[in-house]
Amino acid sequence: MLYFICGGEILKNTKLKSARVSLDLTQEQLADKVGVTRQTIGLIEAGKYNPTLNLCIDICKALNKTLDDIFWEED
Amino acid sequence: MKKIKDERIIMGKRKIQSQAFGLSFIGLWLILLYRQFILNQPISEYLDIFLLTIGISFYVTLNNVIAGFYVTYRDKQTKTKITIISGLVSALTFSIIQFTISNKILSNTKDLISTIAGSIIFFLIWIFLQSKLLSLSEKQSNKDID
Repeated sequence: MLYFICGGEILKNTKLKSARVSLDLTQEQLADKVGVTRQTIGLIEAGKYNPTLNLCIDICKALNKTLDDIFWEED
Repeated sequence: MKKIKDERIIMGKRKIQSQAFGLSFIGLWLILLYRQFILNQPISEYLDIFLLTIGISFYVTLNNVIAGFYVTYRDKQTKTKITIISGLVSALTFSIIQFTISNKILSNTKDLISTIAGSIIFFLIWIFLQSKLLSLSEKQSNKDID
C-alpha cells in the first residue's frame, strides 16, 4: 500500500485530482473505468484511503499516467 | 464500464467479518468456561459447543501453519523464549484446571506429585508441538521463495 500520511498529517492526493480533471473526468467516470466505487476515488484524492498497488496501477492506466506521476511524493 | 470490485469495500467487509468471528470465538470460550466452572456441568451437556470451539481452534492454527503465518520470528532466541514462556503459562493453566476439576488437595503428596508430573508432561508435549508447528510454518513460508 502507498501512504500519504506524513508526520501524522493526512496529505491530499492533488496529483490524482488534477490528472483526472485534465482528462475531463468526474470521480464517477474514473471509478467506472477502474472498477471501483466513486467513494473510493474520492477517499484516495482526500488522502483518507491507501490503495493497493494493483489499484494504483489500474488508476494510472485509466489516466495514461505512470505511478510516479500520480503517487510519488516530491520533497 | 468495468464490473465494480472495490478492494476498499471487500477489505472493509472482511475486517467486519473477521471482528465478528473474533467476538464469536471469545464468546464460545467464555460459554465453555462458564458451563464448566460456574455451572459445573458435565462435558456431555456442552459437547457440541466444546467440539465446535476446539474444531475452530484447530482450523485456525492449522491454516496459519499451512499458510506460513504461524509466528515466524527472525531470530532463534526470541522463538525459543516465546515457546518456553507460552509453555510455562499453558502448563500452569493446565495444572490449575486439573486441580479445580479433580478437587485435589495441595497438602496431599500424591495429588501434588501427580499434578507436577502432569504439568511437566504437558509442558514437554507443548514444547514439542510448538517447535514442530513453528518449523513447519517456517518451511511453508519459505516454500515459494527461490
